Amino acid sequence: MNYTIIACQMLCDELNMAMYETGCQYPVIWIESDYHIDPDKLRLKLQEEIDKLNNVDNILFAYGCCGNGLIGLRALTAKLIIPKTDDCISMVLSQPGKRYERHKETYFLTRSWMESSKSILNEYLHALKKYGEKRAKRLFELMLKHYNYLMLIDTGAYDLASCSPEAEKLANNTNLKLIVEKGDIWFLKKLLTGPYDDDFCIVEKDTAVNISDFGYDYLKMPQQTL
Amino acid sequence: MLDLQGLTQAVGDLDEEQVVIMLEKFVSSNPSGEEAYKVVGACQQGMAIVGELFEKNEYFVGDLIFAGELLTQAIDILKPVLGGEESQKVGKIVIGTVEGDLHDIGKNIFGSMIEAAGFEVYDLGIDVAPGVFVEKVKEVQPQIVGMSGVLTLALDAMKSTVDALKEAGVRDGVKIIIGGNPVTEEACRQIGSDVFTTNAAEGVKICQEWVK
Repeated sequence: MNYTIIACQMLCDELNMAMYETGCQYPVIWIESDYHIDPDKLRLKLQEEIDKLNNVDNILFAYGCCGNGLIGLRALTAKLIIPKTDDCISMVLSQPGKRYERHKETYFLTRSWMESSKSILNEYLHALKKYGEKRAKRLFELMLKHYNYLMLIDTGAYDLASCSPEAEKLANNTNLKLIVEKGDIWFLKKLLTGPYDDDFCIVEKDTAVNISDFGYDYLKMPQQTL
Repeated sequence: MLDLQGLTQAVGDLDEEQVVIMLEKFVSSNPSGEEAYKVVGACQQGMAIVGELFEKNEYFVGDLIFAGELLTQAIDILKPVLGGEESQKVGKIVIGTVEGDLHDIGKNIFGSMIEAAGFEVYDLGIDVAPGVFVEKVKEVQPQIVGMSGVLTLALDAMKSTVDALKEAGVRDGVKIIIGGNPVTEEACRQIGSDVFTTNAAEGVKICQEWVK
Protein backbone atom coordinates (compact mmCIF):
# COMPACT_ATOMS: atom_id res chain seq x y z
CA MET A 1 0.00 0.00 0.00
CA ASN A 2 1.31 3.43 -0.91
CA TYR A 3 0.65 6.31 1.43
CA THR A 4 1.05 10.05 0.96
CA ILE A 5 0.40 12.77 3.48
CA ILE A 6 -1.10 16.13 2.64
CA ALA A 7 -0.45 18.47 5.53
CA CYS A 8 -1.08 22.03 6.60
CA GLN A 9 2.06 24.02 7.40
CA MET A 10 0.26 25.06 10.56
CA LEU A 11 1.04 21.59 11.90
CA CYS A 12 4.62 21.50 10.66
CA ASP A 13 6.39 21.07 14.02
CA GLU A 14 3.80 18.62 15.29
CA LEU A 15 3.69 16.39 12.20
CA ASN A 16 7.47 16.31 11.91
CA MET A 17 7.70 15.18 15.52
CA ALA A 18 4.98 12.59 15.04
CA MET A 19 6.86 11.23 12.01
CA TYR A 20 10.08 11.13 13.96
CA GLU A 21 8.48 9.34 16.90
CA THR A 22 6.66 6.79 14.78
CA GLY A 23 9.46 6.31 12.26
CA CYS A 24 7.02 7.11 9.49
CA GLN A 25 8.60 8.01 6.17
CA TYR A 26 5.62 8.65 3.94
CA PRO A 27 6.09 11.54 1.52
CA VAL A 28 4.53 14.79 2.69
CA ILE A 29 2.98 17.50 0.56
CA TRP A 30 2.99 20.69 2.59
CA ILE A 31 0.23 23.22 1.99
CA GLU A 32 0.66 26.84 2.95
CA SER A 33 -1.27 27.57 6.14
CA ASP A 34 -2.86 30.78 4.83
CA TYR A 35 -5.37 28.62 2.97
CA HIS A 36 -7.18 27.94 6.22
CA ILE A 37 -8.58 31.45 6.14
CA ASP A 38 -10.69 30.62 3.12
CA PRO A 39 -12.19 27.11 3.05
CA ASP A 40 -13.19 27.44 -0.61
CA LYS A 41 -9.62 28.15 -1.66
CA LEU A 42 -8.34 25.41 0.64
CA ARG A 43 -10.70 22.91 -0.98
CA LEU A 44 -9.55 23.86 -4.48
CA LYS A 45 -5.89 23.65 -3.50
CA LEU A 46 -6.28 20.26 -1.82
CA GLN A 47 -8.20 18.86 -4.78
CA GLU A 48 -5.47 20.10 -7.09
CA GLU A 49 -2.86 18.24 -5.01
CA ILE A 50 -4.99 15.08 -4.89
CA ASP A 51 -5.39 15.14 -8.65
CA LYS A 52 -1.62 15.30 -9.15
CA LEU A 53 -1.01 12.06 -7.25
CA ASN A 54 -0.36 8.76 -8.99
CA ASN A 55 0.10 5.30 -7.57
CA VAL A 56 -1.15 6.23 -4.13
CA ASP A 57 -3.59 3.98 -2.30
CA ASN A 58 -4.21 6.08 0.79
CA ILE A 59 -3.98 9.82 1.24
CA LEU A 60 -3.60 10.92 4.85
CA PHE A 61 -4.64 14.44 5.73
CA ALA A 62 -3.09 16.44 8.54
CA TYR A 63 -6.26 18.50 8.61
CA GLY A 64 -9.63 18.48 10.33
CA CYS A 65 -12.92 19.62 8.88
CA CYS A 66 -11.37 23.11 8.74
CA GLY A 67 -14.47 25.20 8.21
CA ASN A 68 -15.77 22.68 5.64
CA GLY A 69 -12.60 23.12 3.60
CA LEU A 70 -12.32 19.35 3.20
CA ILE A 71 -15.95 18.74 2.32
CA GLY A 72 -16.38 17.68 -1.29
CA LEU A 73 -12.83 16.37 -1.85
CA ARG A 74 -12.60 13.22 -3.92
CA ALA A 75 -9.82 10.99 -5.23
CA LEU A 76 -10.52 8.72 -8.16
CA THR A 77 -8.01 6.05 -7.24
CA ALA A 78 -7.17 6.53 -3.56
CA LYS A 79 -8.82 6.35 -0.19
CA LEU A 80 -8.90 9.56 1.85
CA ILE A 81 -8.20 9.33 5.58
CA ILE A 82 -8.99 12.45 7.59
CA PRO A 83 -8.93 13.01 11.36
CA LYS A 84 -12.49 13.40 12.57
CA THR A 85 -11.96 16.72 14.31
CA ASP A 86 -12.97 20.35 13.82
CA ASP A 87 -9.56 21.81 13.13
CA CYS A 88 -5.96 21.81 14.28
CA ILE A 89 -6.90 23.39 17.61
CA SER A 90 -9.14 20.50 18.59
CA MET A 91 -6.60 18.11 17.02
CA VAL A 92 -3.78 19.09 19.37
CA LEU A 93 -5.87 19.86 22.46
CA SER A 94 -8.17 16.82 22.47
CA GLN A 95 -7.48 13.64 24.34
CA PRO A 96 -8.08 10.14 23.02
CA GLY A 97 -11.65 8.99 23.53
CA LYS A 98 -12.79 12.22 25.11
CA ARG A 99 -15.08 14.84 23.67
CA TYR A 100 -13.21 18.09 23.23
CA GLU A 101 -14.75 21.20 24.69
CA ARG A 102 -13.31 24.34 23.15
CA HIS A 103 -12.11 26.92 25.64
CA LYS A 104 -14.20 30.02 25.35
CA GLU A 105 -12.90 33.57 24.93
CA THR A 106 -9.55 32.21 23.83
CA TYR A 107 -7.30 32.88 20.89
CA PHE A 108 -5.00 29.95 20.23
CA LEU A 109 -1.36 29.94 19.17
CA THR A 110 1.53 27.61 18.54
CA ARG A 111 4.86 28.52 17.03
CA SER A 112 3.69 27.67 13.51
CA TRP A 113 0.54 29.72 13.98
CA MET A 114 2.61 32.71 14.99
CA GLU A 115 4.91 32.32 12.03
CA SER A 116 2.23 32.12 9.33
CA SER A 117 1.94 35.25 7.21
CA LYS A 118 -1.66 35.88 8.29
CA SER A 119 -1.04 35.16 11.96
CA ILE A 120 -2.43 37.46 14.59
CA LEU A 121 1.11 38.63 15.23
CA ASN A 122 1.57 39.68 11.62
CA GLU A 123 -1.92 41.17 11.67
CA TYR A 124 -0.85 43.32 14.58
CA LEU A 125 2.42 44.37 12.99
CA HIS A 126 0.60 45.25 9.76
CA ALA A 127 -1.97 47.36 11.62
CA LEU A 128 0.73 49.04 13.67
CA LYS A 129 2.64 50.03 10.56
CA LYS A 130 -0.39 51.13 8.59
CA TYR A 131 -2.48 52.86 11.24
CA GLY A 132 -0.13 53.72 14.09
CA GLU A 133 -0.23 52.45 17.65
CA LYS A 134 -3.39 54.17 18.84
CA ARG A 135 -5.56 53.04 15.96
CA ALA A 136 -4.00 49.56 15.84
CA LYS A 137 -4.96 49.13 19.47
CA ARG A 138 -8.51 50.26 18.69
CA LEU A 139 -8.82 47.82 15.75
CA PHE A 140 -7.55 45.00 17.90
CA GLU A 141 -9.95 45.90 20.68
CA LEU A 142 -12.74 45.46 18.15
CA MET A 143 -11.26 42.33 16.65
CA LEU A 144 -10.68 40.65 19.99
CA LYS A 145 -13.43 42.14 22.10
CA HIS A 146 -14.89 38.72 22.91
CA TYR A 147 -11.55 37.22 23.78
CA ASN A 148 -9.88 37.32 27.15
CA TYR A 149 -7.07 34.82 26.75
CA LEU A 150 -4.24 34.14 24.40
CA MET A 151 -3.37 30.47 24.71
CA LEU A 152 0.02 29.20 23.69
CA ILE A 153 -0.43 25.47 23.16
CA ASP A 154 2.57 23.50 24.31
CA THR A 155 2.39 20.59 21.89
CA GLY A 156 5.85 19.42 22.93
CA ALA A 157 6.94 19.71 19.31
CA TYR A 158 8.71 23.04 19.54
CA ASP A 159 10.71 25.03 22.03
CA LEU A 160 8.19 27.03 24.00
CA ALA A 161 10.83 29.48 25.19
CA SER A 162 11.58 30.43 21.59
CA CYS A 163 8.22 32.07 21.12
CA SER A 164 6.85 32.86 24.56
CA PRO A 165 8.44 36.35 24.78
CA GLU A 166 6.76 37.29 21.53
CA ALA A 167 3.45 35.79 22.68
CA GLU A 168 3.77 37.73 25.93
CA LYS A 169 4.32 40.96 24.01
CA LEU A 170 1.33 40.26 21.77
CA ALA A 171 -0.84 39.53 24.79
CA ASN A 172 0.16 42.83 26.36
CA ASN A 173 -0.53 44.79 23.19
CA THR A 174 -3.95 43.26 22.77
CA ASN A 175 -5.00 43.25 26.43
CA LEU A 176 -5.24 39.48 26.62
CA LYS A 177 -4.01 37.23 29.37
CA LEU A 178 -1.38 34.77 28.17
CA ILE A 179 -1.97 31.20 29.26
CA VAL A 180 -0.09 28.04 28.36
CA GLU A 181 -1.78 24.66 28.04
CA LYS A 182 -0.35 21.27 27.32
CA GLY A 183 -1.32 19.84 23.95
CA ASP A 184 -0.56 16.50 22.36
CA ILE A 185 0.33 14.94 19.03
CA TRP A 186 -1.42 11.61 19.64
CA PHE A 187 -3.91 12.31 16.84
CA LEU A 188 -1.19 12.90 14.28
CA LYS A 189 0.71 9.82 15.42
CA LYS A 190 -2.44 7.76 15.05
CA LEU A 191 -2.93 9.27 11.59
CA LEU A 192 0.46 7.87 10.65
CA THR A 193 0.13 4.46 12.25
CA GLY A 194 -3.57 3.70 12.41
CA PRO A 195 -5.72 1.97 13.41
CA TYR A 196 -8.19 3.93 11.33
CA ASP A 197 -11.13 3.62 13.64
CA ASP A 198 -13.93 6.01 14.52
CA ASP A 199 -11.42 8.82 15.09
CA PHE A 200 -11.13 9.14 11.31
CA CYS A 201 -13.26 9.82 8.29
CA ILE A 202 -12.53 7.05 5.82
CA VAL A 203 -13.63 8.07 2.37
CA GLU A 204 -13.49 5.39 -0.29
CA LYS A 205 -12.10 6.12 -3.74
CA ASP A 206 -14.28 8.07 -6.11
CA THR A 207 -16.46 9.21 -3.23
CA ALA A 208 -16.74 12.80 -2.08
CA VAL A 209 -16.09 13.76 1.53
CA ASN A 210 -19.44 14.51 3.09
CA ILE A 211 -19.98 16.70 6.13
CA SER A 212 -21.72 13.78 7.81
CA ASP A 213 -18.40 11.90 7.70
CA PHE A 214 -17.29 14.29 10.45
CA GLY A 215 -20.30 13.37 12.56
CA TYR A 216 -21.85 16.79 12.92
CA ASP A 217 -25.23 16.53 14.57
CA TYR A 218 -27.37 18.47 12.19
CA LEU A 219 -26.75 15.96 9.46
CA LYS A 220 -28.19 13.22 11.55
CA MET A 221 -31.44 14.69 10.29
CA PRO A 222 -32.86 12.73 7.38
CA GLN A 223 -31.06 13.76 4.19
CA GLN A 224 -33.19 16.07 2.17
CA THR A 225 -33.55 15.62 -1.52
CA LEU A 226 -30.83 17.31 -3.49
CA MET B 1 -21.69 66.70 -7.84
CA LEU B 2 -19.08 64.62 -6.08
CA ASP B 3 -16.72 62.38 -8.07
CA LEU B 4 -18.43 59.11 -7.17
CA GLN B 5 -15.77 56.91 -8.74
CA GLY B 6 -13.09 58.80 -6.86
CA LEU B 7 -15.00 58.28 -3.64
CA THR B 8 -15.41 54.56 -4.31
CA GLN B 9 -11.68 54.32 -4.91
CA ALA B 10 -10.84 56.31 -1.77
CA VAL B 11 -13.01 53.96 0.33
CA GLY B 12 -11.40 50.98 -1.41
CA ASP B 13 -7.97 52.42 -0.62
CA LEU B 14 -9.09 53.00 2.99
CA ASP B 15 -7.93 56.57 2.54
CA GLU B 16 -9.82 58.02 5.48
CA GLU B 17 -8.55 61.56 5.05
CA GLN B 18 -9.64 61.72 1.42
CA VAL B 19 -13.05 60.13 2.17
CA VAL B 20 -13.75 62.61 4.96
CA ILE B 21 -12.68 65.61 2.86
CA MET B 22 -14.86 64.50 -0.08
CA LEU B 23 -17.90 63.80 2.06
CA GLU B 24 -17.67 67.01 4.07
CA LYS B 25 -17.38 69.01 0.88
CA PHE B 26 -20.36 67.15 -0.53
CA VAL B 27 -22.49 67.74 2.58
CA SER B 28 -21.66 71.47 2.55
CA SER B 29 -22.97 71.73 -1.03
CA ASN B 30 -26.48 71.12 0.30
CA PRO B 31 -27.29 68.12 -1.88
CA SER B 32 -30.65 66.38 -2.28
CA GLY B 33 -31.46 63.17 -0.43
CA GLU B 34 -31.36 61.33 -3.73
CA GLU B 35 -27.83 62.54 -4.44
CA ALA B 36 -26.82 61.57 -0.91
CA TYR B 37 -28.03 58.02 -1.48
CA LYS B 38 -25.92 57.80 -4.62
CA VAL B 39 -22.95 58.74 -2.44
CA VAL B 40 -23.86 55.98 0.04
CA GLY B 41 -23.91 53.59 -2.94
CA ALA B 42 -20.44 54.75 -3.97
CA CYS B 43 -19.15 54.07 -0.45
CA GLN B 44 -20.66 50.58 -0.57
CA GLN B 45 -18.95 49.88 -3.85
CA GLY B 46 -15.74 50.91 -2.13
CA MET B 47 -16.45 48.26 0.50
CA ALA B 48 -16.77 45.70 -2.28
CA ILE B 49 -13.26 46.69 -3.42
CA VAL B 50 -12.05 46.19 0.15
CA GLY B 51 -13.58 42.70 0.12
CA GLU B 52 -11.86 41.90 -3.17
CA LEU B 53 -8.48 43.08 -1.90
CA PHE B 54 -8.93 40.95 1.20
CA GLU B 55 -9.67 37.96 -1.04
CA LYS B 56 -6.46 38.70 -2.92
CA ASN B 57 -4.54 38.72 0.38
CA GLU B 58 -3.66 42.37 -0.01
CA TYR B 59 -5.72 43.41 3.00
CA PHE B 60 -5.63 41.96 6.48
CA VAL B 61 -8.50 41.36 8.90
CA GLY B 62 -7.56 44.61 10.65
CA ASP B 63 -8.18 46.42 7.36
CA LEU B 64 -11.66 44.91 7.13
CA ILE B 65 -12.46 46.18 10.59
CA PHE B 66 -11.10 49.58 9.72
CA ALA B 67 -13.25 49.55 6.56
CA GLY B 68 -16.34 48.88 8.69
CA GLU B 69 -15.43 51.83 10.91
CA LEU B 70 -14.80 54.03 7.89
CA LEU B 71 -18.22 53.21 6.45
CA THR B 72 -19.93 54.01 9.75
CA GLN B 73 -18.03 57.30 9.86
CA ALA B 74 -19.04 58.07 6.27
CA ILE B 75 -22.72 57.47 7.02
CA ASP B 76 -22.46 59.69 10.11
CA ILE B 77 -21.11 62.53 7.98
CA LEU B 78 -23.88 62.01 5.44
CA LYS B 79 -26.72 61.76 7.97
CA PRO B 80 -27.70 65.45 7.88
CA VAL B 81 -28.25 65.33 4.11
CA LEU B 82 -29.88 61.89 4.03
CA GLY B 83 -32.62 63.87 5.75
CA GLY B 84 -36.21 62.68 5.94
CA GLU B 85 -35.62 59.84 3.55
CA GLU B 86 -33.18 58.37 6.03
CA SER B 87 -35.99 57.59 8.43
CA GLN B 88 -37.82 55.66 5.75
CA LYS B 89 -36.01 52.41 6.23
CA VAL B 90 -36.10 49.96 3.36
CA GLY B 91 -36.58 46.99 5.64
CA LYS B 92 -35.74 45.33 8.93
CA ILE B 93 -33.14 42.68 9.53
CA VAL B 94 -32.24 40.74 12.66
CA ILE B 95 -28.64 39.54 12.68
CA GLY B 96 -26.43 37.63 15.06
CA THR B 97 -23.60 35.15 15.45
CA VAL B 98 -25.19 31.84 16.33
CA GLU B 99 -24.95 29.96 19.59
CA GLY B 100 -21.53 28.57 20.47
CA ASP B 101 -19.68 30.90 18.14
CA LEU B 102 -18.06 34.15 19.22
CA HIS B 103 -16.75 35.40 15.91
CA ASP B 104 -18.31 38.64 14.82
CA ILE B 105 -15.93 40.49 12.54
CA GLY B 106 -17.75 39.45 9.37
CA LYS B 107 -21.14 39.93 10.96
CA ASN B 108 -20.23 43.45 12.09
CA ILE B 109 -18.97 44.41 8.65
CA PHE B 110 -22.16 43.06 7.07
CA GLY B 111 -24.09 44.95 9.78
CA SER B 112 -22.52 48.30 8.90
CA MET B 113 -23.02 47.70 5.18
CA ILE B 114 -26.65 46.65 5.45
CA GLU B 115 -27.33 49.61 7.72
CA ALA B 116 -25.74 51.91 5.16
CA ALA B 117 -28.06 50.32 2.59
CA GLY B 118 -30.99 51.71 4.57
CA PHE B 119 -32.02 48.74 6.67
CA GLU B 120 -33.03 48.93 10.28
CA VAL B 121 -30.58 46.52 11.88
CA TYR B 122 -31.20 44.58 15.09
CA ASP B 123 -27.84 43.08 16.00
CA LEU B 124 -28.21 40.42 18.68
CA GLY B 125 -24.44 40.08 19.11
CA ILE B 126 -22.58 36.81 19.51
CA ASP B 127 -23.36 33.35 20.88
CA VAL B 128 -27.06 33.98 20.26
CA ALA B 129 -29.37 31.18 21.36
CA PRO B 130 -32.16 30.12 18.94
CA GLY B 131 -34.79 31.33 21.40
CA VAL B 132 -33.30 34.82 21.36
CA PHE B 133 -33.58 34.97 17.57
CA VAL B 134 -37.20 33.78 17.84
CA GLU B 135 -38.13 36.39 20.44
CA LYS B 136 -36.58 39.22 18.43
CA VAL B 137 -38.29 38.09 15.23
CA LYS B 138 -41.64 38.03 17.02
CA GLU B 139 -40.97 41.46 18.51
CA VAL B 140 -39.76 43.42 15.49
CA GLN B 141 -41.16 41.32 12.62
CA PRO B 142 -38.25 41.74 10.25
CA GLN B 143 -38.29 40.71 6.60
CA ILE B 144 -34.88 39.09 6.98
CA VAL B 145 -32.90 37.10 9.52
CA GLY B 146 -29.12 36.91 9.06
CA MET B 147 -27.09 34.28 10.88
CA SER B 148 -23.34 34.24 10.99
CA GLY B 149 -20.66 31.85 12.19
CA VAL B 150 -17.07 30.83 11.63
CA LEU B 151 -16.81 27.50 13.41
CA THR B 152 -18.16 24.39 11.74
CA LEU B 153 -20.34 23.81 14.78
CA ALA B 154 -22.11 27.04 13.86
CA LEU B 155 -23.89 25.06 11.16
CA ASP B 156 -25.59 22.95 13.82
CA ALA B 157 -26.62 26.08 15.65
CA MET B 158 -27.96 27.63 12.44
CA LYS B 159 -30.05 24.53 11.84
CA SER B 160 -31.38 24.67 15.42
CA THR B 161 -32.24 28.33 14.96
CA VAL B 162 -34.17 27.71 11.75
CA ASP B 163 -35.98 24.84 13.46
CA ALA B 164 -36.84 27.09 16.40
CA LEU B 165 -38.22 29.72 14.01
CA LYS B 166 -40.32 27.01 12.36
CA GLU B 167 -41.62 25.74 15.70
CA ALA B 168 -42.56 29.27 16.68
CA GLY B 169 -44.47 29.59 13.40
CA VAL B 170 -42.44 32.56 12.17
CA ARG B 171 -40.13 30.89 9.65
CA ASP B 172 -42.37 31.52 6.65
CA GLY B 173 -42.64 35.20 7.42
CA VAL B 174 -38.93 35.86 6.95
CA LYS B 175 -36.14 35.28 4.47
CA ILE B 176 -33.04 33.74 5.98
CA ILE B 177 -29.48 34.42 4.91
CA ILE B 178 -26.47 32.66 6.43
CA GLY B 179 -22.88 33.80 6.17
CA GLY B 180 -19.42 32.87 7.32
CA ASN B 181 -16.56 30.55 6.54
CA PRO B 182 -18.25 27.15 6.83
CA VAL B 183 -21.42 27.87 4.87
CA THR B 184 -21.82 26.04 1.59
CA GLU B 185 -24.70 25.37 -0.73
CA GLU B 186 -25.18 21.93 0.76
CA ALA B 187 -25.12 23.27 4.31
CA CYS B 188 -27.57 25.98 3.34
CA ARG B 189 -30.01 23.40 2.04
CA GLN B 190 -29.69 21.19 5.08
CA ILE B 191 -30.05 24.07 7.47
CA GLY B 192 -33.17 25.28 5.69
CA SER B 193 -31.84 28.74 4.94
CA ASP B 194 -32.92 30.61 1.82
CA VAL B 195 -29.44 31.63 0.73
CA PHE B 196 -25.84 31.59 1.84
CA THR B 197 -22.94 33.89 1.14
CA THR B 198 -19.35 34.34 2.18
CA ASN B 199 -19.22 37.88 0.85
CA ALA B 200 -20.74 40.79 2.77
CA ALA B 201 -21.32 42.96 -0.30
CA GLU B 202 -23.09 40.12 -2.06
CA GLY B 203 -25.20 39.51 1.05
CA VAL B 204 -26.31 43.15 1.03
CA LYS B 205 -27.33 42.87 -2.63
CA ILE B 206 -29.40 39.76 -1.92
CA CYS B 207 -31.19 41.49 0.97
CA GLN B 208 -31.88 44.55 -1.18
CA GLU B 209 -33.49 42.33 -3.80
CA TRP B 210 -35.69 40.74 -1.17
CA VAL B 211 -37.22 44.00 0.00
CA LYS B 212 -37.68 45.57 -3.43
